[in-house]
Amino acid sequence: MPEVSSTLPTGTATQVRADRRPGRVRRVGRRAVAIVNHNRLTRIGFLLTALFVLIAVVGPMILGDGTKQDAGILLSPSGAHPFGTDDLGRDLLTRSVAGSRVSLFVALGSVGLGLLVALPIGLVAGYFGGTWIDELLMGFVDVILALPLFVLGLFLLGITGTGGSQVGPVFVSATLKVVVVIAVGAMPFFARVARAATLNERQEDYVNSLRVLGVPRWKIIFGEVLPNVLPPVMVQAFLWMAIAIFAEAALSFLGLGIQPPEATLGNILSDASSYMLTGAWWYSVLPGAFLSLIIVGLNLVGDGLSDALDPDLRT
Amino acid sequence: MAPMTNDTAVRTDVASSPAPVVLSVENLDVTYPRRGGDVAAVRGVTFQLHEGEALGIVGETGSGKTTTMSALLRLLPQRALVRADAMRLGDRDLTALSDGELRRLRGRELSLIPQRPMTSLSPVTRLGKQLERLDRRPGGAAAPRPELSALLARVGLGPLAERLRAYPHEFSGGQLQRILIAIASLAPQPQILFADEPTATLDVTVQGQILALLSELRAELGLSLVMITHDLGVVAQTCDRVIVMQRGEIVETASVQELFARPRHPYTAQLLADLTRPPAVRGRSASGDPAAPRLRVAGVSCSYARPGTRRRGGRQAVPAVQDVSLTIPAGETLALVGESGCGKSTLAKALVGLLTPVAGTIMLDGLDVTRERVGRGQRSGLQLISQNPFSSLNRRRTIAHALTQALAVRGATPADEREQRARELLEQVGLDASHLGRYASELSGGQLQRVAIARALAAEPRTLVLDEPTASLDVSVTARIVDLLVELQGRLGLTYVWITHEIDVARHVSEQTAVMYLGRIAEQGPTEQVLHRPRHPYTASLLASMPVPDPTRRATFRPLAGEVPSPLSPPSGCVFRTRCPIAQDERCATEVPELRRAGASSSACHFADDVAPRLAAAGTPPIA
Repeated sequence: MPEVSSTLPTGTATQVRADRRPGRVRRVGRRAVAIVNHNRLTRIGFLLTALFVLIAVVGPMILGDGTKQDAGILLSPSGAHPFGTDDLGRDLLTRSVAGSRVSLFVALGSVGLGLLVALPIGLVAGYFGGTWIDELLMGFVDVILALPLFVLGLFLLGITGTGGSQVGPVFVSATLKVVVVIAVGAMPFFARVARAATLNERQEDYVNSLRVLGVPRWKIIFGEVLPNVLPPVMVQAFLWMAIAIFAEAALSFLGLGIQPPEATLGNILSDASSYMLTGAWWYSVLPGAFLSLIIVGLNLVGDGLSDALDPDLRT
Repeated sequence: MAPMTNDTAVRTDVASSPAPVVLSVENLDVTYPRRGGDVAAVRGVTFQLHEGEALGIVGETGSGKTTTMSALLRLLPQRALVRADAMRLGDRDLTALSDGELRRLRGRELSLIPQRPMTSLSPVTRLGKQLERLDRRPGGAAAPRPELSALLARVGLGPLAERLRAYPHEFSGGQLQRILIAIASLAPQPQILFADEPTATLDVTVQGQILALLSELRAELGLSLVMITHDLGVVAQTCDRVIVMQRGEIVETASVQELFARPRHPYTAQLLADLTRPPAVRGRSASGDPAAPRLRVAGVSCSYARPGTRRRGGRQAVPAVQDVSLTIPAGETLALVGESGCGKSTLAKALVGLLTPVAGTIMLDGLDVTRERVGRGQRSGLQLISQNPFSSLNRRRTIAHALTQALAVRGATPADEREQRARELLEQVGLDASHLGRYASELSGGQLQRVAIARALAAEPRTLVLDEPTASLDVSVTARIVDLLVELQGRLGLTYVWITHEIDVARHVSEQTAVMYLGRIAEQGPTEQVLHRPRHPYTASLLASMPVPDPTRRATFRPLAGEVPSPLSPPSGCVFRTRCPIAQDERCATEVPELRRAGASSSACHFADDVAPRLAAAGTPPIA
């Protein structure tokens, strides 16, 4: 960007950054627009996901947390209660919206935590591919992979109890436990994808060139290889957000997750299961459809990302 | 599309080839519609192919040579717009045929030999099954096995005929290309063979074998050949007539003799001039003191652990480099040549410290860099330029990042001066500061290689190890990069270890040449000696395998037969004896030849002193 550099004193380090920044921002911006517009389904996915985030963040501020029992019980959908009410007289739209906030938190929390653990493991294992370091790390990952998510959940929550618990000075809420369980379940998948991508990257000549130049290993791994490994991992991350939301609902449905009366989509569906055959269709169908739309949206984003970031299809 | 009339007279415009025209193309345009302006990939291409003729289509990347062929065979993607005044195969109008009719022509009368033999067969199906599937007779019956074996034998896979049960990965690249040639000529009435860079991914000796096989089959079956290539040597050795393409247009059409003797278009002339250049004029002051060479490699051996052998009692080692010694004075260039698998790249890795030799020492200015105590700072005197510039820079980092990072590691430049130094480095390699903010994907191969050189220079090296620095570049770009490297060497007093498979490059840049075979040095000495008066039959054979860009020298084109043996079970005695034209049974099979003085060079051959007469007696022509 010559017009930028000409306004700065020459020969300064800031200039390097100034040279780089506008280009990068524009580049990333252009890429983002290209990914969103990849195809119609991806656009729908991004729209649904944006809507979900908006509802989850803003909705509860307007509607409340959905624990108020201030309406008639099992009212069918109407203008005042678009989703109807439940067996305790709570507005189901309010509860669903409040539940979506929990879903968002669980999705971001568990995927974020999973990535935090998995990325270093996958990168290091891939960089030292085929050595004992690789075998040790991936052996650990495979052990976790062998444990089904729900068995893991039963195990953890069975030991520590379903509500929140005090671990030393830290209070671990039930939600946080759910986040940890799902993060542990997701971690092996992230680690494997990161390792596979790193193994490929390891073949590139730039890694050798940097080694010959004497760039320290950790800098090569986390400074140079990581950005190249991120795209496939991000695809996995989005798909796992959908799985995480689903898993939270399933755990809560089984009574292993977040405890009533807190509104989560799983709890609502769990409560609704008793009324499924009594004619109160809205009780399970509307929150269920809401949950499905969130998951479909995230899956479409994940699929779109995986297509758009496929290096073979890029121009 | 112009409507086709069957009575259109077929023009024959080349008086010297009276054979009938089998393929004629008039005013072929291929356009890719794109937002912001269509891209014309091929413009107004007109040519004819005569019966039994070998027509070369030469051009650099993006010149439209493959697009032209794909348009003829209707293999282009849907979005490509193909327009032509006429495309005729014999008296049939290719533009008027339906997709189904054209598909029946492909594989029957029009055959294609692809560029990458490794990926052109299904990896999960046995070879015999694949051949059967391809050769469906009109009645729907598959060809019987013996016929398939005979076919493989015809393309030089005789002893492998029983390997119809093998999978593609069990064959070498050269063998696969032979199989694909067999498939192409297996078409019921083959007329025209399209070969799209059929040897680009193969080794020189194998390339020579494949080219010889193609010429042989063509003569035998009376086929016409369209040879698409960027290699003028291949054209000179195999073609009758040549089309030179540049940016989608034909710039010159001539007989092969005409083209090489009197190129008419400046682009052709430049291509030829870039290809055959005299040794670079440098201050060959022999400034290097032989007593204190810049780089001394003594008895270096390297080996790899064989994959999959780890759990059963220790690793089985595959020797890749064995007992190699080299001495390079400061400011000079050593060219390292040999087929792939000869260990030259392994040696390069050992030199720059990516690999620790199992034996031997590497001394840079008297300091043994193989010892563990030697720090990064001392090692930085040896830098590596790798073959593929598209892979040697991180695609998610800017050029500025690459250069400042290298400077930061070196530590000699204060942080606030690195930006300025990066500009200087870019200028040194013929780029400017406007490239700093760019990403690797925004630069061409030649520019990327310049950046890679600049990055290596950031470490202030005394020696550069160049691992085929121009192998993935176009001819004209190659010449510019070679010029740059020669110029930098003169200016900065650099010492080069230059790995190449291009003899012309070796001749142009190096004082010394070392020839490697199966991990060992076969011959080594002053370049003009080694390349003009080889003292080892392998050097001579390698030179004879090179397609020389001179059609008058087809007689000396004698590709070396066979392939490099596995380093796991090397031949006893002299490792080259299995392919050597002058090998003698007892001595060569039992006695390992030492590298010893022969004339001005050193050679590891028992008959080093009279290689030339023995080769002549064995029927191999002398090297010009």
